[in-house]
Amino acid sequence: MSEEFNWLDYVEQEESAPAPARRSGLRRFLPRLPRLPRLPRLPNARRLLRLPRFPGLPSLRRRRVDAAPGQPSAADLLGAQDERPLDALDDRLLQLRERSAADSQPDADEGQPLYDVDDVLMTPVLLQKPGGVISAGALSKAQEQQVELLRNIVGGATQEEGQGGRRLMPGGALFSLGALPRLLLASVVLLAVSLPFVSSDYAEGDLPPSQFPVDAEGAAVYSLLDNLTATDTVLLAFEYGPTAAGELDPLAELVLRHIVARGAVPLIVSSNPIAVARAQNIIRAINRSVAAGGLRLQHGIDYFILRYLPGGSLGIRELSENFADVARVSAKGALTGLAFDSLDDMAAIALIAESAEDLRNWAEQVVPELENTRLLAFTGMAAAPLAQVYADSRDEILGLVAGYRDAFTYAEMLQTDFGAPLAQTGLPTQPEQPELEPASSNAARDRAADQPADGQAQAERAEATVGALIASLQLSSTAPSPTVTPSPTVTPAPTLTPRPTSTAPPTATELPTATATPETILIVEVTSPEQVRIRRGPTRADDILRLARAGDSFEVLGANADGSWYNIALAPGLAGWIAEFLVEERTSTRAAFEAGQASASARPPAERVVLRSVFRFSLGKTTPRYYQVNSLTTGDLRDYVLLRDRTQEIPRLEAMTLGSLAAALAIALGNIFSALSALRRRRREGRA
Amino acid sequence: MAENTIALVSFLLTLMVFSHILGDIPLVSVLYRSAVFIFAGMTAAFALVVTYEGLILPYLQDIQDPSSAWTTLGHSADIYIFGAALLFGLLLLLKPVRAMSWLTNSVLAVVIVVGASVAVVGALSGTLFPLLQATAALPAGITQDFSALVDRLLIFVGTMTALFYFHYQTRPNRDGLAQESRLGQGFRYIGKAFIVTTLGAIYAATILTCLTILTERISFLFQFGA
Repeated sequence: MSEEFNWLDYVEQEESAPAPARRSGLRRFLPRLPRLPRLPRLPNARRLLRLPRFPGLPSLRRRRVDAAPGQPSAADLLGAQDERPLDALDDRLLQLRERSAADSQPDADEGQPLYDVDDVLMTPVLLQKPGGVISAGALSKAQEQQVELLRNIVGGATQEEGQGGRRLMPGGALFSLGALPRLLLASVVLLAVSLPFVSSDYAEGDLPPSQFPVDAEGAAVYSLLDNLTATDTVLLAFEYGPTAAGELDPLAELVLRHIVARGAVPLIVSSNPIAVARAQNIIRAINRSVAAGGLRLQHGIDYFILRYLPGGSLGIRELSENFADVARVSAKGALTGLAFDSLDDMAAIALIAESAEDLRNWAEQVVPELENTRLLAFTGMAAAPLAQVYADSRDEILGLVAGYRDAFTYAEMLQTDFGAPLAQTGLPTQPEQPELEPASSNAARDRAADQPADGQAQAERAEATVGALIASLQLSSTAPSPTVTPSPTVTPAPTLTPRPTSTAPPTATELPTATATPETILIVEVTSPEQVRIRRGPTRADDILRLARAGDSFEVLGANADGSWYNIALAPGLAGWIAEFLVEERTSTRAAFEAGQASASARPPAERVVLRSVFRFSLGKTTPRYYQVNSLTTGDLRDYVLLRDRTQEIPRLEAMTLGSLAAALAIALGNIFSALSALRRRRREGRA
Repeated sequence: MAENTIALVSFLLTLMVFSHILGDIPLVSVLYRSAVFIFAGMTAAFALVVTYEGLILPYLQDIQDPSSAWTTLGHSADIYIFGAALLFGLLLLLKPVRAMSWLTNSVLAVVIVVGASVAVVGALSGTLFPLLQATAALPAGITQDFSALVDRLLIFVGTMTALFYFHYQTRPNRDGLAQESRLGQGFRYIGKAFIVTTLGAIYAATILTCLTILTERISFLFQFGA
């Protein structure tokens, strides 16, 4: 019977042998090579050149030659040195190390095998009490088995039967003296935060400025959004959940109101499913504020909520590389009718981020793909320090608006730009609502009153914006809007050039019935009960020009080769294609058809159908995009900004100031208490 | 009426969460835990609904209505994509079956590998290279602008010394013990100062965020009480 091989025996034998030098690390497993003859020693260059010696500089060459034959070499020491030596640690780190070592030792008196796990996992003992408050949430049999398995893994005996439930405090007491300082400090902070809501006598500190400095990043963000026009779309990324809503909801609401007040269309998107709910809540709040007489925001017309982006950074990557597909589907799983090529079709991307991680994801996955569009960052204060780094280092990230104080300044600027100057123009203004007027807006109003020249400029700009909005709306051929009255000073937008695809494509064959007599034309009437799509070409892959509903009729210009698609006239110089099975074909006289179109155009403004065009210039070619929107009146535009409830802004800012003071006081007291405790402990240890 | 009900529920839930200030004591702790359970459960349920409506439902509609293409790839490609996603989802359900768990692991491996590669590429192109360039780049006219020069110098020194703080290599002294160079010790102290300052700024900003959220809740409570 041969002796069984044991490598430990081999190791012991080798270690007991008089080896000349120990080999550490992976070198132990390498074969020993024969020792090469030692080369003659080179003269020391430093001594030859008489260079001064710097004792602090590390030597770049190995000190094997200086080591004694029996001592390990420097390379061996470095190989064995995998962490900082204990004597290099300061006292604080040493104390932490000792404390962690002490905590890792099982405490015999504790008697709680799940001492740490209990903090995150409810024990079944508490839940299984008959008639308990949450007895309905008692663990199932399978869950009990899992808990038992977890106990075994953690390493301890099962909880004793007679223990009577989870011990909440050491010694079984409901309260301990150690909890008193925490309660006291929490009470002080809560009191400090609550006082400004009770009385304005407790105001501390100054309010934020009513305008961003010219060279501040917030000013750049405001300027870009303020120069949006009615032909722009903005991607608005909601990357925060309910836990950050108290800080970021005001910012999100301001950005959303600013965008729609300039006539642009926000496309809301998120990689956080709960953020979709936040976006819907904010839009609901905006609609509640303008419900008195203004036009409510409508999904699919004034704004879009695109589908949720799953997978965190993967979803954001999909958005940047496949934006056309993301924009096709809404969060409710319906087609949006939007047609975009890439994110560069956006006028801007506004990111409202809860954490620096969210901003980093967008900076890494989206920003490198952008060519023309800029990313605007709106974050909470917790994410601001790291977000500032990205904002400073990347040209594609324009500016940073952080926290509630910046939100206040942003609101003040909006109030000034949309409030007083428009009142001077004689345009319809909103009724006075003193209960919504914050005390803080005095400065803003004073600033507006003291600057009549600026006010006039604002008025001109507002009028020009309205003009641009009206000019950008291309109405159907004989359907002028009764509410959107073109101003005589409005010049047609240069981008609304005749569409090159308006002529019938070569494949379209003229129908003889349509040209038989000049008075009689061939028309098609939509019969589908649902909204149907009119496309640029006779295939489903072509872009959607607009939507039509049952009863809408169009003049037929032609058809494709197999007659499955009609080429129809949408507007002078604009034609589209509609599938044959969605419509019914009939003949009519031109006069009767035009009369019917005129009566159809007299529908209420909320149902009017207009076309908004977006022209993009990329690689020398023009890409027109059309999609359906509703029209907005000038008063509606300002409603979104002026009717915002700002009654709680000032108390909140004062509460933040007082709360900051209380928190600083609490931290200082905590540090003093900790230092005194450490001194007392050292003194006690010294006596011992 | 509905808004009043929502406000009342919000008021009660807020008070339940605030009860955690009193500590982990019987009955009171149940209030806090119940509020957290409601939040976690509703969050999971809402995420499920959003995922179904935004991701699964479009593909189902696409299959039922061939006249509309939900992606630029077209109708048939959508069916293949949905089929693949469905297959992967079903494979994830096989995790409890020990003999078939390798299939689940394969699906997870694809997800993890793709996610890691996307993260690595994004970190290089979106964070590392731009931040390195911003750290090393000298803006135009820096010689005239003294504050910009100081700013750049501060960034450079802070970056290098903070990196050196995590440098643990030492050299041996005559006794064979590790000895740290004095210059390295000085760099380490400076780096430590930068790191502590950064962490302090982040901590202070986090407190401000917490206070902002707290003021919003307090404001809500006072508004409800009024």
